[in-house]
Amino acid sequence: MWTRKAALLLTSGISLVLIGMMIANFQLMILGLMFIAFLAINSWVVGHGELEVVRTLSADNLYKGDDLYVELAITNSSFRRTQQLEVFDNVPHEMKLRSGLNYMRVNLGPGETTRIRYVVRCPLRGHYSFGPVSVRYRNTFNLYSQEMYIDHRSGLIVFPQVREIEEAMIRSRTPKMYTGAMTLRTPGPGSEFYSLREYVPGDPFKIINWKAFARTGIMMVNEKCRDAVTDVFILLDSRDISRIGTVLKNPLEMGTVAAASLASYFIKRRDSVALAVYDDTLSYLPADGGDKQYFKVLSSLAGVAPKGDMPLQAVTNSLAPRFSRGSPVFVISSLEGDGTVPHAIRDLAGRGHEVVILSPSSIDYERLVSRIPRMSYEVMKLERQNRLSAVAGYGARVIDWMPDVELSQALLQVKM
Amino acid sequence: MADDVAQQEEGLTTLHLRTLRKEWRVVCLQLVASLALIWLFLTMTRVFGHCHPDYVANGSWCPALDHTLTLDQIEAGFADGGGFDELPLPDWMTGQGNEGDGRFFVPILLTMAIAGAWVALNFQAPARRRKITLALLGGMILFLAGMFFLTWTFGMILNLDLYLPFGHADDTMNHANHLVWPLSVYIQVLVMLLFLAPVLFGLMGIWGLSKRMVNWSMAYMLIFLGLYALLSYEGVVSQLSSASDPHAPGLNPLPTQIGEADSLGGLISGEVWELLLVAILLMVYSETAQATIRFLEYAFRLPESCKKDPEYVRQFQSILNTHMHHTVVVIFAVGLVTMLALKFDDLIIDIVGWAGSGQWSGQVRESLELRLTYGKVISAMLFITFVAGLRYVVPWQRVSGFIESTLRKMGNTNP
Repeated sequence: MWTRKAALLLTSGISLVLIGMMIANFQLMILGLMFIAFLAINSWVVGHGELEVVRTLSADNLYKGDDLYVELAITNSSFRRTQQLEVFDNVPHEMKLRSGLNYMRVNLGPGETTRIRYVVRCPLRGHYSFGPVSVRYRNTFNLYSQEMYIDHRSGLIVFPQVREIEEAMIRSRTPKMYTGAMTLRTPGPGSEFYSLREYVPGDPFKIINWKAFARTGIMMVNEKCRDAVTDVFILLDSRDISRIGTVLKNPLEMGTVAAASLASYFIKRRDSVALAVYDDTLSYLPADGGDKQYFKVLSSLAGVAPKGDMPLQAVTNSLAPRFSRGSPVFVISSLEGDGTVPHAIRDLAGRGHEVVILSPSSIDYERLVSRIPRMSYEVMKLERQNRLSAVAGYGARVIDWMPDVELSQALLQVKM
Repeated sequence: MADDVAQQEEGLTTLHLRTLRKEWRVVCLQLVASLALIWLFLTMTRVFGHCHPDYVANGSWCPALDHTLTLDQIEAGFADGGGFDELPLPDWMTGQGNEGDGRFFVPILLTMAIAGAWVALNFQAPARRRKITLALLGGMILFLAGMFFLTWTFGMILNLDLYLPFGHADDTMNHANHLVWPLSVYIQVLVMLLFLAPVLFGLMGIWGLSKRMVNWSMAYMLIFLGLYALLSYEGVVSQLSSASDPHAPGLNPLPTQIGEADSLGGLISGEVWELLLVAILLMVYSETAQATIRFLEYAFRLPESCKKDPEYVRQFQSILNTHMHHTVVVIFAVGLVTMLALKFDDLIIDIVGWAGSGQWSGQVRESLELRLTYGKVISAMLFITFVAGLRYVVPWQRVSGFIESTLRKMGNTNP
């Protein structure tokens, strides 16, 4: 493509030749001819974008706020020089350059390679894609330029931050309330004795109770209590209303941090964690433990976006068959705009679940972005307090989470 | 895929402006631009710096590119008015009385000094720059009116009377006369700077890294060429002239016919060579100056970490190297192609001659043999179009790339 300079040179050249011919002035004619000859000769020297691009990221996934190191290796795979080449690596606009630059002007000889190295900070969780690589090549005198994309992309998942909450859980008024031995009186793998039962083929010999066999003459086996593993259910409210606040501070962002931190805490304790995110639909991750589950939970939380308006009761009704008996349920929601919350909590508590509601205060998040008159704020705050008290009355432990309070601190203030 | 990613390295050579100003490639480009500018100006003065021979014989003034004509005229005006015989600045400084390029050497040196001072001033801290500027302005005002105010004030004190500094029978009370000498110095300097403005602006732009200055300089020269062409055009001359002054405004017109090719081995005529040289130098100056500024701007805008990154430094140097190669090769090729294009009509005439002596060939020959522009220019345009089309036939970039890669491989295999 011709640049503005080339177009200007051509029009000036033709004009000068014509004017020169009109007034029989050789200087103007020669100047015009020279301009046109300059364009003609330069048309021989064009760049190209036959490049091989390889992008290397220091991590495929990282936590919100972490730095990512990126290296872009560009190789001229042609037998020609690239001429002046501008390479621009498209970085997701949510990311901030910390060091280096995702842009370079190069002039690569045949087979030559260069590397662009830069560091970006990822302040927002999400699934991101680096690329494509934008390339603009032009000749030395900036007369012809061409833009193109090299469709080379690299994926990256930015997980929500995981906060340390262990101390908070220990210091809470209900120490160790979530370990399986307290609530799940079901047989399974464990250390504590649960009951004796008759031997069935397939039982390992090492669990045969030989004394009972000698005493009764019936082959009996020891059954253990499932005491070390609890199924913890985390319900995250990702409805449209949870976007209230700033991009970095809103109920949903805080909710994802809380969900990730709780999942991390329980999975480290070798418990099983299930995650349900409800927005316009319900996405459910069945309970499981281990690093793989931890990665799944974080990946799922990374992709959460505010949308939809699904009521909590629809979630609890839909998940009711999947809830393990007596397992603790965490509800992370601002509790705004959902009239079914009390009924859903009542149902959960009624089925014997330990319900903890972690509720980011949406009114206070709204105050971060817009000015709310004092009287209105007081009224809305009072309404919220009443709503929380009503929910607490149904047997849930309610935490009113203010924007400037750390998660570990918030978990200490359980309202009954 | 996640992998170990090396951090940006730090090399010894950096892309800081302070370092780049001493980089030989940058200095070389700036020198090329400066030399092209000065050479261009001198060539222009050779071509456009003369009045019509009748004017030269009469000693009349014309708007040619020669400041000494104007200074001589002012000097004559002062002498006629009964003032001093000679202007305050000596002739060796202004170039008056000299012939040829000698008229411009010292003024160009002065221009270089002023441009250098301006660039040096721009390197200073803003506070210091402001102080120096104020001091300079104060000095200039003092030089202009210091003596006048001093003598006038003392005169009024000594005479114990308030009076105007002019219009007295007693010449000692006409203190305004003290303004004439410094004023004429300023006029002389202003006239010189007015004529040498493209050199001054150009040098300021090249060394002070100002695209605007370079553009001003280019615009000045192009406008001058246009005005010269217009004022030396027969149609305009006939309108401006009168019976007593038949060649007004007195500019020496360029030849309308190309003479015999006697320069560069018979490739081009001497008259056209100078005109071509003006165009070539204009291009060299413009492209080199603009490119230097563009490259340095890019380097300046890079973040600190990239300025120290050897990869950025290497690529920057590669761009500069290529620019220098292309400036030499492309401009040479452009000059050659233009010269060949201007000779192309001869080739066509020869080809038509070989085709036979029919009526058609005779007509073609007659039309092309019009040495007066049209046939030549049209055939030149044809040749340039042919050259432009050659890019689709000759894969020279591929060939040069192949040679470059082979040389690199050979270099890598050597111990």
